[in-house]
Amino acid sequence: MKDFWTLVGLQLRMQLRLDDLRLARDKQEKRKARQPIFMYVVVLVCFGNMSITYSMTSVYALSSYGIAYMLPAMFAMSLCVLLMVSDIARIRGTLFSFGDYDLLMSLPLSVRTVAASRIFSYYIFDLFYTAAFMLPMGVVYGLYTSMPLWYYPLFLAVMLFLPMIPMCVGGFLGILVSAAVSRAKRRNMLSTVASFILVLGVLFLSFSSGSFFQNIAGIAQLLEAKLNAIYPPAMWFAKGLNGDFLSLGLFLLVSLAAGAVFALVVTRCFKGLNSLLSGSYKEKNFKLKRVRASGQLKALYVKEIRRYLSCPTYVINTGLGVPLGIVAVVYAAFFGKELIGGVVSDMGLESGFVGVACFVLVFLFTLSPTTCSSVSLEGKQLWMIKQLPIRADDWFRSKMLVGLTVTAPAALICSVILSAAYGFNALETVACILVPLIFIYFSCVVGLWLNIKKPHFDWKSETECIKQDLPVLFGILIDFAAVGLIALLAFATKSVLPVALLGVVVLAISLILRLRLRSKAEKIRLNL
Amino acid sequence: MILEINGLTKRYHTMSTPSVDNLTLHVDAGDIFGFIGHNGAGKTTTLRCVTGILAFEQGDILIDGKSIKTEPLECKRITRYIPDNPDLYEHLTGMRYLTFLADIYGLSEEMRFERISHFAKVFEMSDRLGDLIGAMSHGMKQKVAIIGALIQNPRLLVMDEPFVGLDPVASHALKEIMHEMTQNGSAIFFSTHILEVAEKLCNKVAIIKNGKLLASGSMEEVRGNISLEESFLELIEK
Repeated sequence: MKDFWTLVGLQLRMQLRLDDLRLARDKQEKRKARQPIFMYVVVLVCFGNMSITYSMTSVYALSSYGIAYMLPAMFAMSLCVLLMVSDIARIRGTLFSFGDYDLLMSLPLSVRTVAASRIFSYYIFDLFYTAAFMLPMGVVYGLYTSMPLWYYPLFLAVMLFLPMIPMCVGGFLGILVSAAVSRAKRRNMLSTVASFILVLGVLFLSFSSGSFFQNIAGIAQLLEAKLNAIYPPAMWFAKGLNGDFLSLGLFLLVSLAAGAVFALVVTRCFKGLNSLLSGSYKEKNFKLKRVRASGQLKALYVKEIRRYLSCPTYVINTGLGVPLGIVAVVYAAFFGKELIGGVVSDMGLESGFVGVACFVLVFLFTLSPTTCSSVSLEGKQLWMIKQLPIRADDWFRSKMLVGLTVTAPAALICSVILSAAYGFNALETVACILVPLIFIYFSCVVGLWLNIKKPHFDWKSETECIKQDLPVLFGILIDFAAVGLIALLAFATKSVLPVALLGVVVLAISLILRLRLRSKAEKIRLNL
Repeated sequence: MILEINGLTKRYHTMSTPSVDNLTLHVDAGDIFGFIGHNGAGKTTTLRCVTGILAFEQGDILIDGKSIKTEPLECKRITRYIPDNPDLYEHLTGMRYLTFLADIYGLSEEMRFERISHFAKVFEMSDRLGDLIGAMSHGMKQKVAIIGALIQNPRLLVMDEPFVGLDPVASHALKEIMHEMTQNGSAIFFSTHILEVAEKLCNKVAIIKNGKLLASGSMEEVRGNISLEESFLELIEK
């Protein structure tokens, strides 16, 4: 047991870079070492803020229909989707194929201890997000519905079990995908596609329960029945908090069982699965052939694209908006015209619909730019970029080009489809095409700046810089702010003109940032 | 003169003692220059400054008469570096990695095919270049790094512990190639802990301790009548 806690402590120390902080020699090192803790605080504040806003507005809406008790169930369902999507992508690099696997397995520790410590760290990470998301809701719900005092300790205790089911399902799905493609030639590509299908499937299932707020107008039973059909533990959780101890017992039992099965299977198969997942395709009968020559920028771009596609977590984190956007736009253009037309008409948005379309497109295509982590992902190979005779600005351009390649073509196609389907005039079409492209460019440039300011090269797993680094978080926050601004202008003014003007301002800001980056590129590269 | 290091001083932290302190040495065309020192002496730091990977505060480094500070691209075009730990692009196959380097250095299709084929054969890697670098052993990665450095035929080859991890065949091949390169007018500047190798291979040598140069010159000048190992130990213990 002592070894288990030592390993867990070590992983948490490494994750939070506590030793770096303790041994930092100057201000710059201290600032760098404080980044992970700062990042978790920011995540806590953001999630907490989102949760408070969402739970306060929801509890009012739900209580007006007499179904406030559904709030914990809705949150539990949302949390389950969030964790499952995250865990499918996260399993590789945290539970399996992690950097210090060889070192740990060579130590006189039992496989069970090593596996258990990894599972526990994996759970702790999920629990952190669970607490950040659920705690504010729990308090809001308790205060609003005047729950008795025993509710609060009960909520805290039950919350500990919430991540277990999504961790188990997401983890198993992630293992299945990784194992199925582990020996294939295009392993990463297949893994990315399979993960995409799974993630989209999970999202589709969760949305197929029907929009909660559309159904509120209906009857509470319908919502309850749908939640029961999709994710029954969410309802057991909600009922348990309201004093139905049978449901509570059922929730705890199923959660514990899920957690135990996951821990048991992973512990039993830890070594085998790690060996399987660390295997790689070996080209048989490889013969050297002539290859076509290309210029420096193209070579860098191809290298960046291959880097991007080599990491399923990276692709899912930054590219999920693309299929979602295409599905949403195709639905809006071919199947939902009547419904959307009705909503637009009810809200009096006819003249400003282009602005709303811009808002939706920018929201879908800019939220997680690839550039926020592309510099950090150079990792230990950074020496090559510094040593090769390439212009630093070409290196930056290749990174931005990848970001643009991922989202710009899809955004362009979606803009054209929307413009054609809703009969925008020439100027509206231009705005609908250009505004999303400008914001995509902006998010790429800003993402790169953020990553240059706060690079992280000494990662053990790619997931660290793709999902858990400050530049990614700040990139999302800045893009959220930009999207919020577009929404505000589009809905408040009911005109496309202010949105277009905002686009011009954002383009100017992007170009200024880009020019500064270009002029300082060599110095920035040398100091990385 | 291919490489001139003049008064190089490098500190990692503003107030700390320098990792390399006022180092001056010169490498001529045709030299195989061994750079020797204990762990943490400043060898790798010097090599990384020479190759433009690290910025430095004082002094200058000239490669073929051009400063790495003011004309880094020109310097890098004629220099190649092989680090002690071959951290290459693990998501690329060996062949794609070499193609990437050939593109960066602007090698023609004919030239790259000829040189990659030649060195792949020399280092017994012809049938392994289709594998992902991430799936290769340390020695194989080292061989890919060496092939990548050689295909461009650099005027200055900088290597950090190049023989660590290489099998005897590859080690022998590399020594042969080093001789060939210097006969053709290139220069080689490399660090090593293996003093026997340095003694047999190098015509010039420099010994560094705590960032300061203790001795530099031709092999005969530095070792005198004793072996390089004895000379090194004498200098280090002073």
